[in-house]
Amino acid sequence: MRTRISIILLLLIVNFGKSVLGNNTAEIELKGYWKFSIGDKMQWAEKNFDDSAWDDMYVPSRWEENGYRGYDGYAWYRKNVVIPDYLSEREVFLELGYIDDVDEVYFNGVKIGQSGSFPPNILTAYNASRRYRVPASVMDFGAENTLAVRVYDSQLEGGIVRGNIRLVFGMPDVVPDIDLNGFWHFNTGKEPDADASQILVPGAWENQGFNNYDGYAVYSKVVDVPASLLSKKLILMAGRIDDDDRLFINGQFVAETGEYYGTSNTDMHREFRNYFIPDGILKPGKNLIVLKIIDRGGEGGILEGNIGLITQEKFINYWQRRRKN
Amino acid sequence: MKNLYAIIIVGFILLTNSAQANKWGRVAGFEGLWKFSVGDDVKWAESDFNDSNWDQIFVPGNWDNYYSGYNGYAWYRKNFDVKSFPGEGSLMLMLGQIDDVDEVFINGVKVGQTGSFLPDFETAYNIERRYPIPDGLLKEKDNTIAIRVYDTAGPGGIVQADLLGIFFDNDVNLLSFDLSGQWKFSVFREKGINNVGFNDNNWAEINVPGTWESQGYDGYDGYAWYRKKFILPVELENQNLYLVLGRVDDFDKVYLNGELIGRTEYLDHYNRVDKWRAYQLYRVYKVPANKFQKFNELVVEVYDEQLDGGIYEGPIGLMTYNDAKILIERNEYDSWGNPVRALLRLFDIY
Repeated sequence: MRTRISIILLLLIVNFGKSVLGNNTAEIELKGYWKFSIGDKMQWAEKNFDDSAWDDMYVPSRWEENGYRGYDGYAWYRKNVVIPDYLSEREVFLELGYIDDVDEVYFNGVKIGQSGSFPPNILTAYNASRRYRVPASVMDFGAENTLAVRVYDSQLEGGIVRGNIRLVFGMPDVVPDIDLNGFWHFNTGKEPDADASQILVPGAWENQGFNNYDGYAVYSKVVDVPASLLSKKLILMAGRIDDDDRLFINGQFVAETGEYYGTSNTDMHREFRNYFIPDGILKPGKNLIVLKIIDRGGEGGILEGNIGLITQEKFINYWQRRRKN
Repeated sequence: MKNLYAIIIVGFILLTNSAQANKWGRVAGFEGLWKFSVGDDVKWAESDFNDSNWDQIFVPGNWDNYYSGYNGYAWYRKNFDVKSFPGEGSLMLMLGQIDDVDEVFINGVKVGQTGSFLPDFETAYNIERRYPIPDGLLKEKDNTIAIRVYDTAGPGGIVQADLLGIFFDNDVNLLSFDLSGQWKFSVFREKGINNVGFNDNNWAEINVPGTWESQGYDGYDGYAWYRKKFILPVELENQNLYLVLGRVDDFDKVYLNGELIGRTEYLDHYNRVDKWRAYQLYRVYKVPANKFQKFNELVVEVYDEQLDGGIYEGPIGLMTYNDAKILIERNEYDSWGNPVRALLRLFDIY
């Protein structure tokens, strides 16, 4: 990413953040002692795993300072947290500060985010502040939830080392009628693969196992559309995409931004997509949404935004609230 | 180089417009607050749609000034009265530059479109919007204009306009016989196309003046043919007259009753700048009295190199020597201080 653009985006995010973190924001502080174990077993991600025998580790801190001097490699953090009922209907972000070097995060056993890349192709993300959107579908409100963070440190200091550690519950700027944040099918190339892997949306594919990949890729998702929404005008808020893309629904071309077939750089990676879906494209029941993307350098994929299908009525209302001047 | 040409052309458009202040009499002005909504609904074109709970934004200007970062469909609506009707024909709706695509309705009737909406998106962000208004469409009071706009990225909406509103071409008053209105139109070269009696019954119709981009031929560059049949009024018989075709983008050859009577084209003695100025020039072709018949057939072959194309600005018709002289000798200068009309004599073949 070009620095100047990053600064502009940063400003945008800060402004946006202000509106989200208004008076109606709630937080659950997660600083303090977490369960901790070195090693690496995928069942440690599970909600019901018994971690009572594990060490206690203060978060944030370097594990070198808490009994693991000189340790490099895998380690896991786990913590249980009760989320009260009244915080449902919020836009939820998990902030984990800075993690040295690589992490992936499980919420009740479901992966919700990753930064950097694990061995064998290690990519550190030690200088990235972690802020993961938590899909409403993975949370248990009015009950105990389990956070599990898998960390890999390649050298020197390691762990969840500093920064804000908390769950932030903002009043969402907009709640899509069908929330499409979360996992999509993903594969590189121009056409959808049957054995596509899973990827988190929004989020750069570089952080999700496709480090340094530039070129074509396909995001796809099967979406159940209730009959009550089919009679309404719907808009797919597809977020900020890097770089150019074409949208297909049920095999039919619907919309595009930039020049998917072109070869030169466009500035489209700055732009948020609002795709109006013509009547008759969506069917009752299951629909296949496919976004074909080309990335010509730097980060790639559906990078940012609140992704989902929204009725035009709600969409207009949302933009009227965002109006300035 | 293409970009350089585009810059030069845009520059010309801006400067030419400012020089044209006297040419255009304002019938309705549209600068100011418009009703505005993001979204898209065909019902919003209708004159009786209730837009009272819509937002308002100032036009012209980038809609991102209010709706920062917005990409997608949005509509503009405005009610207006018409102060005076200068006469039928030659009313031109001018909307400046719209980013990226627009479709315009007056009193619920579509009057023009530039660019192409999804799924075959094509931007027209750098094209001046000028739409001829069909006769009989406007009322004295309570007219509605509704503009559907699609923006894919960056600035959006009615972003920039020197002339914004409905205008009457004052030069029409110089005409002895008005030839504006519906002409036959085709983009296919056919045998005998310039001849008297050529069958153009199956051709499309197009409003003259007006770019063909704004009338269903979006993005078309190349050759096109205009045909018009007319009866010479008795009072103009046995006179040398001037056929005025306003401005044409870019080049034209004109045939009256099968005979070439004038042309503006890429001639060897043009320099490159002159070539690109051809679209600015008023076509005023001298026609000796003996070239007219009682029943006349006029054919205009137009070649457009890029962007807008066609017989895009009036006046269109026949003038006497004295009136044509007024048109030719009126001072009008381009950005470099060159008189725009002095080049005319280069093309007169009589």
